[in-house]
Amino acid sequence: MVNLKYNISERFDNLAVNIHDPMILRLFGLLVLSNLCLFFSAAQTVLIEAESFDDPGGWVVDPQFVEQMGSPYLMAHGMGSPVENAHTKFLLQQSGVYHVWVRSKNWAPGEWEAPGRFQLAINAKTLPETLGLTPGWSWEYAGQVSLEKGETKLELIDLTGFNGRCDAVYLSTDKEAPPRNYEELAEWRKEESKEMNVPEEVLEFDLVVVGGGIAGCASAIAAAEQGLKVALIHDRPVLGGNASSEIRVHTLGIYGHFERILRMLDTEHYPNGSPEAHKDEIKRHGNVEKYQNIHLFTNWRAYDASTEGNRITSVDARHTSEGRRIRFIAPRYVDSTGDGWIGFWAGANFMYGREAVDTYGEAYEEWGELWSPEEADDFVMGSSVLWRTLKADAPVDFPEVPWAEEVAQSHQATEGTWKWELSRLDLHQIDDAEEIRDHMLKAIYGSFANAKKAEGGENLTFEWISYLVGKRESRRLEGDYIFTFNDVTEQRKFPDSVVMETREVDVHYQQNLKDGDKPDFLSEAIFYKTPMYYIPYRSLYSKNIDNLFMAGRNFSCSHIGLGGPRVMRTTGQMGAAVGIAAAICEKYGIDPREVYTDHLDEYMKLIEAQKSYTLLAPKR
Amino acid sequence: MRSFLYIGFFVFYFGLFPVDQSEAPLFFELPVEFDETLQKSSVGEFMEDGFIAPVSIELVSDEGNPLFYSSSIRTTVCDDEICEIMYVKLYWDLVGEYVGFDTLVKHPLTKFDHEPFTHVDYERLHELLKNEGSILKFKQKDELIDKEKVRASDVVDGTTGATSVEIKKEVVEGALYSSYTLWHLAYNGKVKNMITEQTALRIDDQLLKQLLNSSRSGYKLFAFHNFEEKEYQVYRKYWLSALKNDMPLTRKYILNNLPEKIWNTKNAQEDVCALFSYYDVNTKTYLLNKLKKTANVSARSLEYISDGLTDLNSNQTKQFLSLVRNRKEITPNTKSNIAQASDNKNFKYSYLIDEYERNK
Repeated sequence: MVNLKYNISERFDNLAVNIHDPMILRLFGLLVLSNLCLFFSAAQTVLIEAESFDDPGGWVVDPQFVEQMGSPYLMAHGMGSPVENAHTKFLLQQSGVYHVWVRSKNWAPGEWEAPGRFQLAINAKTLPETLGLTPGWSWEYAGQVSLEKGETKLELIDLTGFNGRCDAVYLSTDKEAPPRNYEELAEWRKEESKEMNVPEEVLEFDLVVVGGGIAGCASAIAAAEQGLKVALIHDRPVLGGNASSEIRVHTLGIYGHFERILRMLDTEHYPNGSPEAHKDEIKRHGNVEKYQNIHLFTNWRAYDASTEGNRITSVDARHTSEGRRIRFIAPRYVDSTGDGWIGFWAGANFMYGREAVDTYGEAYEEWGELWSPEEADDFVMGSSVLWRTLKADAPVDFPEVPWAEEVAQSHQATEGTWKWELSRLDLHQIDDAEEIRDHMLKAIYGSFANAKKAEGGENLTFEWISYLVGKRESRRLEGDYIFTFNDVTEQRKFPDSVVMETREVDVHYQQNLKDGDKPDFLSEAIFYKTPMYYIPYRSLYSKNIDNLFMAGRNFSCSHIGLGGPRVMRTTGQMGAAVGIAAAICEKYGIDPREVYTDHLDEYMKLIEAQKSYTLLAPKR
Repeated sequence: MRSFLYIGFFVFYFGLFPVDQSEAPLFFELPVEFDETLQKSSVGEFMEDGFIAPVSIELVSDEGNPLFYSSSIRTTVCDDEICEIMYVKLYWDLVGEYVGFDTLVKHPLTKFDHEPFTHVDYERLHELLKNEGSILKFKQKDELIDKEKVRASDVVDGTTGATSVEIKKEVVEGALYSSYTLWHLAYNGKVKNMITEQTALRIDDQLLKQLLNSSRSGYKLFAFHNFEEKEYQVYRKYWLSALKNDMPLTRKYILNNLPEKIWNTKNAQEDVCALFSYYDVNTKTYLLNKLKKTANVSARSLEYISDGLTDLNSNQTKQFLSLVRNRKEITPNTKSNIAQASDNKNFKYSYLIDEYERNK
């Protein structure tokens, strides 16, 4: 990725324009010319990150898989209809004959035409090569082109509407493709962009919350109400995570002590996938944004955490399309990323997978292996991709989708529900999330195509397909206490019970485990119904990273322990509890653990007081 | 007066437990011939909310061979205000899976306004009860109807108009609460545990063979759950057959529980790996994981897997290549399979082989 300010300053310091002018920066996009190439080689090179295009047209920025494939990218998510072209401009330093590569991927390779095909045009001339044909992320050669120096236009032309993807465009007067291997590519990118180790901007806060799902938002609000200056960093344009209009899962669970805060953030009980999610999202944004001391960084994705000893000293984040970076410094951090990224980068102990049934004694006898395995394995609860259709007034064409048949087989469907879920032993919910998403896209397109071919399906058309993976389970960071099924069955109360819930312990398994003929993308649920149970505060801070809280599905619990409280009002309770603990920490200059050991009475009184807390949020 | 009591008791008792055992129930999924020779014995009782008294679970056998379990149930079916009594007989197989139901003499199931179930209603009920994943699993009784839309009714199941569409699709129309009550009895955990416990107590060679030879996947899995090392030796063809043909859950169980003594023999390993192409995606990964933890993997075992190399997924391909990398010897056929997969344009992960070759 590029360090925009640094490179452009250095490259264009002889230009008679104010290179810090945002308009100029925008014009340049993320143009990078290699210093090395200029001074020590005859090769002229330009690397343009697709997500930084001036106008993405109908393409969407997808930053979900940065840690696996290296960068946010543009995707033509057209649900079968080609999307509008993406455009950008850059200033080419020298005239010449340039070789052009595009980093892309055939996301459904096989004996058929690749679904995500697209082309590249330079200065309105379409290069002949079709792109999106190679399995795995790689640099596809787009052709060679003779270019004059000066303003140069790039255009991505989607050919299918079926999720073609472009990570970057690279032009070079040498015919040498950039590296394919992930590690080499990351190094190469750093060199190309001359990126410094430290982000160019450093900001300080009382509390840094990473992840703007319901847990992160609740954490930010609770801390802000106690007077803390909070940074809320979120890698999407909208807040809410799984509850956002981009994923559209309704919130479940009870409010516990935090009804007032959670009502600002939660959703109605609409059917999963409903556009009603937009209404709740507007409410959520209005409520978060009214807090003067919440500094909202939407479209910023954290990518690293620095540590000294057992303490996090900073979290670095990058803008998902502009590439700018900020270093966030605070005495304490909240990991609400869902995947536990902050803890992971900081070296926090974490868990992944299903524990063996005897590890914590979590048997549910009549469900045996489907509930909890004899031996630990990675069969965690899977991820969902929701979608909806509608019936148009007239027949609507839909292309053949042979590449989807191997997944959908003969399954017909017109909408996705929570049962559309993928967990497979060979797929890691974080490391293989892109493959999981793509597998679900095949399931969706294929099942829809089957439904269209059935009697009465002529008028069916897509209303919406999410392109974001809605995860249920990933890393769980270890706290001083690990919440398990036994805490539910025994309805154990704790001196630090800050979260309460009555929701069933709801653990999923794939349908095809019991019937190999079932599609592999459908799940089933096991419900353990229960009275009220409680989660202690000690499950909400890291055991070995002294200044790290966690709230959300990455809290400290076993796989089965996650089954009940993984829903969003409950994770919201966790967030609010953590936000208030952060205020106690700030007051005494202490770490999260000391809230439990030294200030529990005060903390629990503050938690209890939330029920009657009527202070309105300070207005801007 | 006393004679009336006796008559009443007689009618009540035989209403619950019909004398005639020779007739097949209304719905029954097992291949059993019902006749007078079947014996039944009570194996325990269970009690649920709504039951008037504890209910007995009975094992039905044929000349000592356990066949299935049944229970004649008398329970109340209630909405918020009104309760009715429902009589029904439920049947489970030897591992506690629902297999059918029957009505009791003089007690047909009824619905809205006491109308008796039609044949279609009974069929629909059976379909519902066969559906382990019914939406009813996720609903509390008070969530079945939208309270704001409830219309006055003087019978329990008379609030159909307010039932949500998703529930309506599955239940017997006009018999919402009966459907709900019966589904939760058919999938009652206490009953399932009692049944599996009782069947396990009766396991002997004859029953084990009966289970292993059954076409019911639950029976075979249950049999393997009751295997000891000796049985893995004796019934080798059965567990190999199950690995080849049975549900993924059973395959995983076998691979996980295959005694080390057997697994570490070349023959067993190769027999298991020879079936690789029959395995589902999860079993393939499970086997690859198992091989990774195995000290001595035979070259022939890897060759069997290499035969299906181009059917592997990305991570499986990496796993396989990693297994090969750690070996001193691989067979010529394995080498050839890898080379062919590398050149195969239709193998989507051939680039992983190229990377592997580069990093070797």
